[in-house]
Amino acid sequence: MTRLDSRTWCFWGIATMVPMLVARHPIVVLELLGIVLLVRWLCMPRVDMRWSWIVRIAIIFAVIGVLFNALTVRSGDQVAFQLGSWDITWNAIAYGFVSGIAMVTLVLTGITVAAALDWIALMRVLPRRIAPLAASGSVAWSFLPGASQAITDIREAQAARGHQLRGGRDLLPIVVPLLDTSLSRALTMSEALEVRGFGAATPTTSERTSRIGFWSALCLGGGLMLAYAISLADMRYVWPSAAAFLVGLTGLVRSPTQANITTRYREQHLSRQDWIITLASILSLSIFLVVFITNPGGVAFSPYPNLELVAPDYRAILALALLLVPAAFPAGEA
Amino acid sequence: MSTPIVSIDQLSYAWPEADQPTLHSLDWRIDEGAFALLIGRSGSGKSTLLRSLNGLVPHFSGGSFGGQVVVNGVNTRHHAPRDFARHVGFVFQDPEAQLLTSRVVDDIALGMEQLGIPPTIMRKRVEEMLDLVGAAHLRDRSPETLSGGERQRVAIAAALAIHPPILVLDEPTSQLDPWGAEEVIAALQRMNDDLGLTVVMSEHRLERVLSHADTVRLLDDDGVPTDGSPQQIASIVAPVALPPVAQLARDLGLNPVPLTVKQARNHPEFMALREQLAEQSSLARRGRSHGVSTRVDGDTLGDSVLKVSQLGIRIEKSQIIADISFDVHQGELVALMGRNGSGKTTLLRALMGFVSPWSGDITFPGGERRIGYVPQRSSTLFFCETLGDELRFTAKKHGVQIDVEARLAEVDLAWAIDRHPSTLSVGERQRGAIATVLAGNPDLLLLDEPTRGMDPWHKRQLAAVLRNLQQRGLGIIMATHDTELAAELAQTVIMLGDGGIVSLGPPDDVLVDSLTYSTQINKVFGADWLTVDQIVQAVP
Repeated sequence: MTRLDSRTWCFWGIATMVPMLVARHPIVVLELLGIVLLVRWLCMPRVDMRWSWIVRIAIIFAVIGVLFNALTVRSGDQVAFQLGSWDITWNAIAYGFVSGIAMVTLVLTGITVAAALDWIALMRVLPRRIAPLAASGSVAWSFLPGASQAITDIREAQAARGHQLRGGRDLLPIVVPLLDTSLSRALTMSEALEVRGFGAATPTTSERTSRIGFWSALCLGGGLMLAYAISLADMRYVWPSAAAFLVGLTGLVRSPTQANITTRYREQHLSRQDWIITLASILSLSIFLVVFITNPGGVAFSPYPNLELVAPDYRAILALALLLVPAAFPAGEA
Repeated sequence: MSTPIVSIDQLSYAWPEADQPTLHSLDWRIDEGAFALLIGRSGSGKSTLLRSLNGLVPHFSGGSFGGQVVVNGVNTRHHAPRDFARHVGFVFQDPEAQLLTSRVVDDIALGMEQLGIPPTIMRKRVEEMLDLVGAAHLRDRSPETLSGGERQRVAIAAALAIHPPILVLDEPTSQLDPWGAEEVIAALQRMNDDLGLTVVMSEHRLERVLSHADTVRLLDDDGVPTDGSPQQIASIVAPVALPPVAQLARDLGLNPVPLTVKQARNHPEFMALREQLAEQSSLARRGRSHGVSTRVDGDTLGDSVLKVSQLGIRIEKSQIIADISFDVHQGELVALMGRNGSGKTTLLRALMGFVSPWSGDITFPGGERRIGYVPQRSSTLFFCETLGDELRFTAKKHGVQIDVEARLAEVDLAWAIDRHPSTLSVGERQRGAIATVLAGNPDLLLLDEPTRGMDPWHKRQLAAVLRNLQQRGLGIIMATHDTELAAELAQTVIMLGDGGIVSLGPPDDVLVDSLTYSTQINKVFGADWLTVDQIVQAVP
């Protein structure tokens, strides 16, 4: 039995999350929630759906959304009741509820993609030029199961001595052995990497080092400037800083690295199903963004000042339906 | 005469901030195609010496380094360990920390990828390596799902995939059960015999490996070496370090010293001794046993401290243990045995209350659960600045007053009261862990694989400590793969398998006439003879 490629799930996840981040129309939100639940149910039969847990987090998010919105927003034409001098409006309650459901959908999308991803395989398909980063990333990831087991072992060992975890000061008997075992494990792993020739092919010349330093600085500086310009919404600085960021990134990727002489045991190719899902996701996101730019009201929800629901843009609804494509390839068929 | 593939001249090395050098002016020559074995107590410098063969010492470790090490014509002084990947394959002690990816085939290929070996060659070598170590069926498995023996075989395959002419292994079987250890040693022997691979390894469990070695180097406590053939070394090393049959020959002053069960069976003096002991056993059989025992007398056991009845345990819908019943009494040592995954650790965790029983009862006739638990990795216990503080912490948590120095003296560690636990050797740390949990004054002590990674000298000290604790009236349950230790100390052996008890009874019943669970002495002398000490006491 093979599984869908991790890159495919990344595309699907992005195409699902972006509409959820930019749109709040209740029909759009409910459609996306239904899609995520259906895909999770059909594509991951071995993942325990834990419906009670899903309902519980949905209630928690909805309640938090409603409370937060109702207590911080006083606008709206439909007053539900008054709390002191505060008007608690149905408008705020409705928007809070929809936001809560959107949050639940985002969380479910995240955990669905996380459960489907093979993180190490994903790191191994990173571009060859960043192969050392990919290899060390996959090693770091394989470190996690051991660390998680170590925490359980330490907690049990300390509990057997009568130790109970009640506050921050009680963490010492857990943290010190955890650091000790983790460091010793990390040391063995790094020795194991070294004796397997990790980095043996890297030409370490001062010229290469200084080149990489220059491109890194340009990339980092451009990125920081870009973030700052976006936060100020000042378009005069956005384009130059974006250009600096991209030039730095390109230079970094094109710098001579170990990847010039390392090889790969196994190339990972996308299957027909992977291509179908990826293209459907890209198409879905593209159509949705076009609708969002040309007719923002068709996917938005603005209950202020009047609580009314306009019909959603049907093109967006149809585009999002493309995200159901993974459900056509239940687990085991891809 | 073969050319040396390893030449060490006047090697001296001191770890960073160490007062004393670990290695002093060592020379060593290892011929191409040899199987070289390195033995000695913990702390004698075996790992340091092995790490110098691919430059991990000093390039990775730091410290001060003198002399030179030339391996396959390359001087370690001038090249980093990564450059030695083509010359030396290295396998570490811990099977859990050296597999680096999420799939067996990817792990075997990792080193080749780093060295830029073309994919067509890589694929061929991966298949060859999988066949060589008998791991073809594991190719797509995740390392997390492998047993210790399987992991070590995959680590060996990963080291050899680069085609180095030398394989160095640092106590590769010390963390494994007997079956895993057998698998690894058999794979090494095959590669040495068939491929001419030079193997250099350190090891404590000599019963499996001593007879395969071409040359043995013994390092004493100060790192001073003695070289010789396995026979020569077996006649000079401390008997405690030898396999039981060799130990018995040394204790009885027999010559030559047999190294394996087969050699012992064919040894003229052992044959005579076997007949004499058979006669003694047959005379004593009416009284059930030959009556020679080194264990605490079962008749002196006290009241029951634990009753387990019809216990069943499930984890994530899988039945791990079903319908187990047994008792433990004051002064009794119960050995829990069985292959990895048979439920030994799960049973101990259930007794501690970390796992809830699915069915049955665990009761403490004394009224309350007063158990001390030493997990497999004793390092999970320690967090204080000194060993004395560790004991004080446990005593405080249990609300008891103790004499810390006296408690440490019980485990022969009074001298270590102000030492940081991490500065102790594996064996000392294990005894320190026992003292630490005993500071809570438990009625019952649970030990999970207490001899894992321990050298024979420390194992002997641990056995003495456990015997003293039994005589003091402490009940002990010890999960172990160490048949010799169980035969020496246990009043009861519980053999777990297939989710339940396969066999339960005194060692004289459970540990005899078994291919895998008999002691070496039993395999030679039969009947219910189990330990070297029994034979020594029985011989007039």
